[in-house]
Amino acid sequence: MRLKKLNSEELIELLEIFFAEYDLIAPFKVEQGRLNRVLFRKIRQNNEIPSIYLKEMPETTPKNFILPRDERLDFERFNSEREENENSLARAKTRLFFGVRSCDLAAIELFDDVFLDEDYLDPFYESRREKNIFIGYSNQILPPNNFQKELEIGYFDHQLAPAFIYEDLEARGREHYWLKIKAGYQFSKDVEAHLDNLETGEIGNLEKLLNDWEDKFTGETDFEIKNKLPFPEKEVFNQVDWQEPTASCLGCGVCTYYCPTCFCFDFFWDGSTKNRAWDSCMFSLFTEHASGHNPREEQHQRWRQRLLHKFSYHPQNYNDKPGCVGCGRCIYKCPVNLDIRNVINAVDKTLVKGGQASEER
Amino acid sequence: MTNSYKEITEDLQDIIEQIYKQEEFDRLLAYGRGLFSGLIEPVIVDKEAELDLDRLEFTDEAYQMLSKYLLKNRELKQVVVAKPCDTRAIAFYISENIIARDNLIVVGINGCPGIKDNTACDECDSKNPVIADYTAGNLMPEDEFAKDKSDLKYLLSEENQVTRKNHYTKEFMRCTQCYACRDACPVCYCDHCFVESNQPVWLEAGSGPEEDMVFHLMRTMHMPGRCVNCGACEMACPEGIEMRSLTSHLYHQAREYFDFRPGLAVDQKSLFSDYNEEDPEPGFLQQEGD
Ligand code: SF4
Ligand code: SF4
Ligand code: SF4
Ligand code: SF4
Ligand code: SF4
Repeated sequence: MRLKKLNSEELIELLEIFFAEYDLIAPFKVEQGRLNRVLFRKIRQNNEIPSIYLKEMPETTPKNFILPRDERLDFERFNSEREENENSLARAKTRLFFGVRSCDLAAIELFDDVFLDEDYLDPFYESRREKNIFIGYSNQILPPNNFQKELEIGYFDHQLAPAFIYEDLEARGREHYWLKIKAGYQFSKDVEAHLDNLETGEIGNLEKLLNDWEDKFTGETDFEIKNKLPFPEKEVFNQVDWQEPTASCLGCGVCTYYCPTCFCFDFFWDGSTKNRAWDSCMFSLFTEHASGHNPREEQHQRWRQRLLHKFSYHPQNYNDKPGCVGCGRCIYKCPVNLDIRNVINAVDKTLVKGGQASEER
Repeated sequence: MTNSYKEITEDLQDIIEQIYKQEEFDRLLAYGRGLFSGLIEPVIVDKEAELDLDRLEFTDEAYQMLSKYLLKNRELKQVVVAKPCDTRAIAFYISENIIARDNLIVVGINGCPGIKDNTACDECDSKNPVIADYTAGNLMPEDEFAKDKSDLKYLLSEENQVTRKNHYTKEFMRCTQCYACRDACPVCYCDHCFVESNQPVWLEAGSGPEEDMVFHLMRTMHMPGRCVNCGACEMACPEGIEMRSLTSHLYHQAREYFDFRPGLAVDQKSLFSDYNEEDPEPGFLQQEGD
């Protein structure tokens, strides 16, 4: 591992080098209607680089690029001519996502578990997932309503990212970025050539800084999950009062559209091309049968699906890993501020009451 | 003068305590602060459930329309904390016979101080409740909020059709078709919305410029004579789309042409059932310069 301290100008210079080599995608702050939003966007010109906005957690994640909202499924690409096409794919530039939070990196890993599974490989996902590099980011501000720590996702690193950048917002005006380049990735070798005098002596200082930030974060949240994951499916399904904690839900699916780990989609035809588009278990049509019968007639039943998928079914299928990374987006994007932590809390309490609580995690 | 959020909160807590003591009811709909998020959220509880009265609050972030939630359990006797715009939606429900007055205990907010970032509040022409069984805060004199109808020409109404179309096409590009605008709207209450209709299919899956336009224009056409201009649609939109310039434009047009505003009284006739020979006929597809 190597480390370098940078100031803003040096960071911009480095990004300019990346821009020449990669398709650079980074977060920007934009005003849309009454909202000030931070969104990932592809950079088209060098002069956009200084406006990259890292301080607040972006609303979108690389999900929008890897599993887009609408996608044309070009089966031609995967037929006999595949080989030739693969060559043309190989010529496309590698995408470099800059400024990705650790929880969002964990979400991409979760997608990989699902879509790159040998038995159920999704070739469309696979082709979009090829040739992506992620550079992580964190600072000393805990994103709003974030509870990733409770799900054992660290704030300051993730194995998907060959490099991580830390911004000390209190050290403005001086060298306030720490760029950590990890050994063992091809990207690291490429980038080292561009960085003169990479320092290695300050690792202790960085670690101390990150420990301080982590302590501060721990003081800010009082949410905890007492039961081990996966939640026991049958008990939770039957015993929890799903109506009370979800009574305010409007069924809009915003929580799932902005969730970095939600991946449900629907197929539809546009003339003779097959497409897929995001779908959501929060919609009434999600489970409606052709007969008109709907096994999830009420909104609280749909919420039960969402919660169980993330905290029971997903961990059951993928080595106890939760289907939620605790980013907090579903909470602040929800038009009625319905908090998933309240629902988890209701589950937790029911299990504790029923004597199911496993020893504290 | 409007009341302070603090005064209203204190009044609300007292009133609800009193209601628990002296009224028969099944369910309470109020605002409170989220346990972990600290954000204002709807508090929807059965009478028997435990409730910490101190949790109830009214702030400039109480933007959710509790009136909308009444529809889910119309057969229950419900207590609802209602902003003036909520009371108008409630009066509208009663006038449309979709909820019974006897099933409601309305706790209205007098002299509503408004909701943060909700541009509809700047246009608000009803800062006192239209109906209420209890009220929090002091009444606000009508001349302080009454709006002259001619002041309320809506954004873009002066622009030509091409500019308007370009503006909306561009704005709707961001639409994710989550329909939160419809879900949050108190007067979008059809049991079966055209959006979910699959026989016939009005909207295809996926989001494209055509679907966006069809959705918004069809919803807009369902709104005149119903929209109470509360702003909830825009407040709910996760993409910050300003679709209220369509619905609210029609709100102001109905007022200008027919002196009609929905939800002013529980026995009000609807815009379309109350025909008068003298009514102007501005035309459905009015051209520029007409
Ligand atoms: S965003 Fe909120 S209101 Fe919409 S479906 Fe999710 S929980 Fe329900
Ligand atoms: S469920 Fe909510 S907190 Fe969990 S990953 Fe999705 S958006 Fe983030
Ligand atoms: S089932 Fe629901 S919670 Fe699970 S991925 Fe699909 S939309 Fe998300
Ligand atoms: S709430 Fe916004 S994004 Fe959702 S359907 Fe309405 S306009 Fe589109
Ligand atoms: S259309 Fe918008 S402003 Fe009108 S009543 Fe519905 S939510 Fe309120």
